[in-house]
Amino acid sequence: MIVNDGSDDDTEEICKRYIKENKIDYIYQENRGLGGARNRGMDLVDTPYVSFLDSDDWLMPEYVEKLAYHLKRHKEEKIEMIMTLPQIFHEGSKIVKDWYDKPLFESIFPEDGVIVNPQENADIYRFEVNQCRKVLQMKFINRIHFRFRERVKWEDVYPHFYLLSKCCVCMGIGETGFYYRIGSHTQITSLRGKERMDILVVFEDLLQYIFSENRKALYFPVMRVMVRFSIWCIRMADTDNRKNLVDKLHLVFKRLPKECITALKKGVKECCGRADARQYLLFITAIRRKPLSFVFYDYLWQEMGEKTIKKLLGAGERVA
Amino acid sequence: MLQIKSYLSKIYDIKSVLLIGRTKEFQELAFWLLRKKGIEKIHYCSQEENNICSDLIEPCTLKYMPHSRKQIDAVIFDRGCREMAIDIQEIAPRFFIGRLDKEEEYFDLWEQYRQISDFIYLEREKTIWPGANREDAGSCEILEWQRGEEDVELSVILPVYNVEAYLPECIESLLKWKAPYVEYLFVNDGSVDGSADVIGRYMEQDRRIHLIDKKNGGCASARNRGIAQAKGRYLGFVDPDDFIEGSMFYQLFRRIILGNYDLAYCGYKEYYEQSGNTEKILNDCLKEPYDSGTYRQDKVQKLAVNTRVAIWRCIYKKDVIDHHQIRFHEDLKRFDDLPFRVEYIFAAKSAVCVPEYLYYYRLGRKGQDVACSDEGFFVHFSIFEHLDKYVEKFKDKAKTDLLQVIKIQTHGFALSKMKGKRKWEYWYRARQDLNKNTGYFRTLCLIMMYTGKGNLGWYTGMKLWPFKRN
Repeated sequence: MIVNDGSDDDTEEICKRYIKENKIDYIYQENRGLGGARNRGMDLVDTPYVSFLDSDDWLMPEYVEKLAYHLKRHKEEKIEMIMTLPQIFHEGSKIVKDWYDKPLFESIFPEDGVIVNPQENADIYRFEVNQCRKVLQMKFINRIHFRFRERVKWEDVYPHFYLLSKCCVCMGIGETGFYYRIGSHTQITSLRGKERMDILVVFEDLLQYIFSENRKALYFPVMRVMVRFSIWCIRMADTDNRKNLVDKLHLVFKRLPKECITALKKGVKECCGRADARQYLLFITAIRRKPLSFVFYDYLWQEMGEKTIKKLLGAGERVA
Repeated sequence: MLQIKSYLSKIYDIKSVLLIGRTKEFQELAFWLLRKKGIEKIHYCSQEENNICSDLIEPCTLKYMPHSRKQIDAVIFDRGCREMAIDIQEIAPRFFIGRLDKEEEYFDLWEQYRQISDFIYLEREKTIWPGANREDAGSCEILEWQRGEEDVELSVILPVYNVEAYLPECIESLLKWKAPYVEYLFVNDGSVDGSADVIGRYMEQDRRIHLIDKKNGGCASARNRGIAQAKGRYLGFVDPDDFIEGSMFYQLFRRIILGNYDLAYCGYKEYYEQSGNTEKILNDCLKEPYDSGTYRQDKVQKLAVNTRVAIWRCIYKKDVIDHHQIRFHEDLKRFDDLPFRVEYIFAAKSAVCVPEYLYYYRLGRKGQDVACSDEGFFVHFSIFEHLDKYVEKFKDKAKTDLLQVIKIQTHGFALSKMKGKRKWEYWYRARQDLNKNTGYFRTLCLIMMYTGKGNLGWYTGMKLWPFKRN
């Protein structure tokens, strides 16, 4: 099913060429953003399962084959979500790389078709946030009345936690030919302007949700995602938005209760590599304090700050 | 196998395949292919005994190939089977796919099959410098090529203006590389000497040489004309009074296509006309990470400050030049290469260098740019006006900072060369230019980071200078 979200290029023409020969539904709508387009699609789905594919990525035929095979194997009604492992296609070098969380994925799902209950295994929340890798059961979606938030970029983040925390039966299927393209000009993730600010709305949703549900197991994975996204968004933001973004993020992180911070500190030591752990902890320390958060205003101060800290820590370690 | 599989996954119209390989992993590829839509026949060739059993996979050897020799759509070969892959030209596959070991040569395979096949895909394991972050470096490099409308891969553009005496040496050095997919575009910018005749003589000998005549409009306009008429996927620029090592374009082109880089460059030597001596230019970054290729944009853009201007020892991707509308500014009387280079480097996403000195830059001839007097340096201010405007679009502090460093370098150089009254005028204007975007403290940090202490003195002096221009 192709949802044309108000493209003003040749999209329609190209789609029509394929519709004739294939079993494709084609829908046009006024622009509502990625979330809106997915919602429209979900409204019209009449199959038991739904999966999303961004228009710059591609799937191999065996992807669907394998999913169907494993669904059949496990009396399919039962499975609410299927987690897959994409592969990264780098546009510049044309190289295909392993997905970011491959080791974690393989430790949770040692082989294809293994079923995990996310309620019992909190590690699953640590997966890289990405909607397209999740195949959802329509029954499950309808039961929890799930829809994407519209007109917001990074609409994948909140559903990642929301869906996983509602789901009880999650099946894992490893690399089967889902290619995720990075490094192209058109990607949302390469936008550097105002869109970066949308991350604040997403964070708000996320925090509201975990506090209302009061699920302690979610604190660490949510915090980790927030820190990582913040670091990345600050780095990518252009000169017009960077300051504003840092100030807003400062407020968000300052308001967080102690528990979240301790959860992050504890979790980071257990699950992250040394370099990552250090980066996350430094970030959270600096952003929560107004006089320190200024270093993020500018990449140069940040770089120099990092260098100084590295030197100090290095010297400290040598003495120790 | 990951890379080849992903490439195959994008192809839908192959029916029969010839596989050449021995490893277990490669055998699995055969079974993987069997499940692919549209595949009818697989020929599997290995020198050892075959233990593949399937009706659709037919064991064969290269000598006793089945009668369907001509109907093979794709050839896929494995590491260590390069020799066998060379020998099967007459199969003429539409797709020529394979992977190579670290040191195995890919370029002659490409050269050979570009005449036969429509698509070539070669993967080669990458040699990684010690201490490199593996994730940045990647484990292999890929050559992906598709037959284009034109048979030209590389266009070399030479703006010609009254260089009759130097042309033969330059042309001879260019012609040493015999590749047929190169074109040399000589843009005659209204020369009044016999330059055109010299080129005409060589045109008769070599069909790769083209002459474009135009009215005199300056070096920038000549180069732009060359860009407009170039057919190649990659572009190179050579000044006709210089000359190159015969293998320069071979080495650059060979390197840039493996890994699909946006920019390839090498080192250069200065050639002193009077004495005939040459000297390597050393303060030019030819080290890691560039020598093994980088896709990190922050590293690529630093090339703008840690290499010399010298645009002619590089090759550029035409796609990038067209996409970002990068052209030479025709209103600049001199140094039009500086803005071109900065604009290109800021637009490029990846770069690779060949750590050898392959271009000879002639010094000491009459009427040469660098030998010019003080007056010419004032063109720097209009250059930076262009660049300020260009960089502003990116809204990226890192790029603004790099531009400031370039300004420091350029103005520092100009001031060290100038003498007399005009120097003061330049001094005041440079001060204005340096104050435009970046403050004092920040500039100090940048100087320390990129250029070394040498520039601290004059910059601080300029900053603290209490007098206004009268």
